[in-house]
Amino acid sequence: MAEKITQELEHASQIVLAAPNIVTPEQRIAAEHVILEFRKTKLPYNICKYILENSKCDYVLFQAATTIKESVIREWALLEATDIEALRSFLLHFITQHILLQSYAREQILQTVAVILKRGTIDIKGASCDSLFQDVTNLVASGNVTMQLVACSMLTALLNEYSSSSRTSSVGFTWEFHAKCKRAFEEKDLKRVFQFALQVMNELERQPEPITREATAIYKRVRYNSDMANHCLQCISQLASLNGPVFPDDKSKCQYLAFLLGAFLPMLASIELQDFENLGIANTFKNVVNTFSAATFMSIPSEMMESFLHNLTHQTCTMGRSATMEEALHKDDTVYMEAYEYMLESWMELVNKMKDISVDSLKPKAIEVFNTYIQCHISGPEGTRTQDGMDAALEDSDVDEIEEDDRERFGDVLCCIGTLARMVPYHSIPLLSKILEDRISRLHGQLQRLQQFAAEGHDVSMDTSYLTVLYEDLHWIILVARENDSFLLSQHLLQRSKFCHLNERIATWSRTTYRWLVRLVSGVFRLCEVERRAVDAKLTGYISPQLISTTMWFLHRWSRSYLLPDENYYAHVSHALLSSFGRDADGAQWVISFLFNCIMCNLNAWTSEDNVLKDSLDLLVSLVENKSKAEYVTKCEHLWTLAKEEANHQPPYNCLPSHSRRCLLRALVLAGSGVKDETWKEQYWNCILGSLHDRFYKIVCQENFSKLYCTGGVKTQVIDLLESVRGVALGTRVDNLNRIFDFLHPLLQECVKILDIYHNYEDVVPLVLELYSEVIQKQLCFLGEAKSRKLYELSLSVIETYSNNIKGKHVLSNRYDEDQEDKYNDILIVMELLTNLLSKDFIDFGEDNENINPEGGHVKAADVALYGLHTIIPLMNADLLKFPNLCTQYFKLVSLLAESDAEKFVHLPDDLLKSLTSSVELGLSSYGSDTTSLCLEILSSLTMHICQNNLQGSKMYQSICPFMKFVFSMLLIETFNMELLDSASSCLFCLICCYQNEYREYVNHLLEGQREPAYKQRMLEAFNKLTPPTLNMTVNRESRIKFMESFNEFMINVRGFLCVK
Amino acid sequence: MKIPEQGLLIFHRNTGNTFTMADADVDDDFTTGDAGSSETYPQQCSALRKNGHVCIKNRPCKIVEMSTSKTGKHGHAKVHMVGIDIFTGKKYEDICPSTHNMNVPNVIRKDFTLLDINDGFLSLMDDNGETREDVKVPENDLGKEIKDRFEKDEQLLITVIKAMGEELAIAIKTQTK
Repeated sequence: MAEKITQELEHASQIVLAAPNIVTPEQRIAAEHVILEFRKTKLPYNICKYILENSKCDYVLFQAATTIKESVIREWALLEATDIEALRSFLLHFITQHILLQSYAREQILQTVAVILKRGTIDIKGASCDSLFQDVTNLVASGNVTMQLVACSMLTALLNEYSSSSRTSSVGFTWEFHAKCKRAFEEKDLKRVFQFALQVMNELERQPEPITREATAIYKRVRYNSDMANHCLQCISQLASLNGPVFPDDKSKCQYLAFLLGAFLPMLASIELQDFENLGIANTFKNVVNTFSAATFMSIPSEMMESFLHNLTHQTCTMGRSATMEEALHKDDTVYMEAYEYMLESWMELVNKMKDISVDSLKPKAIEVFNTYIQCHISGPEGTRTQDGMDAALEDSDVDEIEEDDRERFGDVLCCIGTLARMVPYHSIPLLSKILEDRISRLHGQLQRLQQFAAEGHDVSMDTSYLTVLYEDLHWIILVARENDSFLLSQHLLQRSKFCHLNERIATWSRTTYRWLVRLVSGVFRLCEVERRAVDAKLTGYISPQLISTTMWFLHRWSRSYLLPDENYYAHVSHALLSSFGRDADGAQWVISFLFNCIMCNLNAWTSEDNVLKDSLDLLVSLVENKSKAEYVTKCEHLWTLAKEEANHQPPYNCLPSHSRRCLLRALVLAGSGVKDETWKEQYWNCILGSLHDRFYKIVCQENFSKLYCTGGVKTQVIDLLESVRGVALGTRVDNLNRIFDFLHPLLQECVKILDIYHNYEDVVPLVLELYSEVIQKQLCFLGEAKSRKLYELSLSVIETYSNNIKGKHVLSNRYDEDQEDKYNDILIVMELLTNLLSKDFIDFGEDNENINPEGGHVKAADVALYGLHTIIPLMNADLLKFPNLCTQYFKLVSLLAESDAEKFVHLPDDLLKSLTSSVELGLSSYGSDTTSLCLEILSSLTMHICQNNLQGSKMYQSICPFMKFVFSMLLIETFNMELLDSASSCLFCLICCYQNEYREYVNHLLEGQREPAYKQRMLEAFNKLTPPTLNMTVNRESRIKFMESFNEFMINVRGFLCVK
Repeated sequence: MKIPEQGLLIFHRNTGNTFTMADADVDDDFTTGDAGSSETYPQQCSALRKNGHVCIKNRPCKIVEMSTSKTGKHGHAKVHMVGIDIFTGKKYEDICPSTHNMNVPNVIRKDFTLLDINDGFLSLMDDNGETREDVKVPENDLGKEIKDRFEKDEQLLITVIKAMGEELAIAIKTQTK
């Protein structure tokens, strides 16, 4: 009988494993059926034993093991404890006797053993792991490597099975059961498994030693096998982070650290690191520094500490150099960069820990790391970047815009280097300053020669690689120097730190250092001047836009903290700094004037370089954003020149790209707040706003506009105007709110007309909508009631116009392989607009004391939003909701509206209501937890509204009804993100209150479906506890909170046995 | 849903008149050829934008992709663009230093009421009641849709695009009156 079955199975396996050209699909299905049927055999243990002992086919063995695993779980109640134990011991014994099994069969058998043990974990029938451990002990002690490997596999299978992760096999236990087993295992057996692992290692080494030395010793042997080496390095770095109750007291911690370093440092000294080892070593350093306190470090012998620091420094520098090489060679694999980042993180932690004691011992090391970094990034003679005549900066391969700028890409590294530099300002600042000055002089010289060359009529299309080398040097020096942006800040923090030693601070920040700091910045100014003159000399083509960007970015950061510093923040600002850049000094006015000149020069020379424009304008905005700086700005003539030139709309200001155009207008509007003199003020505003107003009307209200609108010139001008007006809106702040609103209002009215005329032009439509959205976002929450209403009315007309033109429209666009999401861009903007409009209900700083004209409009934000939704809901089908931005914005809008004005939904026409509910149903399950959360909120708001207004029986009541079951089953049975528990339970409560009868029916249905009497009882009790008779089933805060609490318990209780893995 | 009528009234009062095509005494490009403007005009590359238009290989294209790059880290910007011929749907690419000028076509879109279909030509009427019969039924799915829906007696608006002397029907819309 058993033999026959074995043969059948072997035959079936051959078919299943055969190549597709040998067997027909029908044969394959039939064979699979044979195997699956076998797996369902009742009490299959003897047959399986027979198969295991007699079959030579690994696949059949695998299936036999699987059958045992499944049957034991299924028939647990029918089996005697002794049978189970016999089975387990048979399987383990079988493995030791058949060491040549394919690994998949062996792993399956071991997993079966592990599952049997797990099933018995909290059962009187289950043997404890004791007998298994006895077997494992024997295997380990056998002295036979194969047996020891079996023991290791057994332990791994056990660990996998008891872990909480996905490694556990799915055998149909409840979640509760999995969790209990894990806890029991951790308490009882985990330590023994660990001891076994150690024992095996000892067996391998045959010399009992402290574990750290052992690990390093093993590592030295296995490091040329990269697989083993990785595991082993991981062990070492884990050992480096050992902490917790393992150490009874501080002393043992110190001992351990000494032990650890005593093994680790000599190991490091005795080997030369291979590429892949750097990461593990760096990680070990990081763990050591993170784990142990400063006090512990201070307690180890000072030579050892010195050696540790030496190694840390040495490795950091080496990895830093290799990281630069890696970068220059454009390697895909960035092990060195990652390792270097780990090392620098270790430094940051170490500096942080030591600062309360003394960082003096770290200073020479900090200098070393800092110097190495600078060396790697600049050319000779000081630096090593251009070694062997190679310089990555000279490559002329294309650099794509999506490539991150160095300042972001290496932001973390630069920040760490900056921290180290700030520890030793007396060294770092003069160093940077000197190299900067040297390179600027060289650049100046080269540019002058170039100019002379050109003036003499020579062909200047010569090799300019020496310029590029200088640009790259300057770029990096400025990137590093930018980190001194926080010099003031760090000093400020130092003062507040109670551990700060005054003497140390004075020693660190001598007057000379401050003077060097001023010199460093002056160097950057000089660089700007050199660049500006080169542009004047028509050498623009030879200048690096990248370097200008970097320079502007530096000045932006620098001016934020150094220019006109608020002295109240800093108790001791250096005299050198104050006299150069402080409030009562002429220096500040000069600097602002100088910067402004640079910015204007850049706007003129670089209209074609987005990044230069962006960084220059960011600097401009930062100068005018701060009111005290803005005052200085308005005193300088350049502002007025800029304002006039922009007002005349002459080159280059009429051909700035759109982003820059907005930014410029924003800056000019912000600067307006700085003009104090009343007459000047009016003149200024007239210049900025008046000119724009006139230009707008001249174009949009010209006689033939309806005829000319589509000609290129006019359309370009309209686009340009819309961008400018949007820029003005961006410059809104409380002190100019009314002026800007009065300026914008009539223009916005004209924009409705523009939208209508250009409704077929997809390059204009989004601009009008964006402008509205921007105005609403920037202004609405500060506007008083009368003005708010005006804005609502305007928004309504804009939405109406949009809706009229989109209704029933069908553009056939499959001819174009367009970016699909892009096509729906305007819908997205409309939704943003409406969302911004509704936010007034939630955030409102507007003053109400204005006189409201009783005749005035009665349009409310919600009316406009609802009107918009009428247009949008029919468009939001499953296809459109797949676009994440559209999806989020849509549900955000609906949930806002439901919260602020649920009444509106009651009167929705049937088809809209239907589209709405089906979109919510999709949203609950299909688009991630953020969307689910919004949908839950929508349902809560709507059902709450039904309950509070007794709308049972309404259309809305009926269409939301199915959600009661839907949400319930979502919470109880499907995988559910526990972070949403609060909003989900609150939503469920509203639904239950609203649909009490349906809820009762559903609960009964669930109870009937539960076959196991014990579980049924537990479930019944849980439901009774969930909604006890004392709970008031009306939607109010108190009941909701009560429900939320009991629902948490309910979930923990019921989900444990309803969910099965 | 009901929109409060007062709100709408205010809107009309504020703007004077809502603008409609009929108000504007139109005889525009579609009937008279150029209204004093050329077929193309120059624009600096850096000022072009996605979804705008540009001429590539002397064909009017819609810009569907735009990116910048530079030659080497310290080099100057170049604009790389992908355009789709607005009439043929063919894809074109071009790369150009961002300081250079490129030609931009004047692209006009206009809605017409569909009156009839004769021998593969659309019979169209604009807002002023001017009719024309020189635009072909497009040879694509849209053309088929126009015919199908026209046969079902739907009131249709057809959007016609015009640039550099060529014309094509590109969109269809139900007329809501």
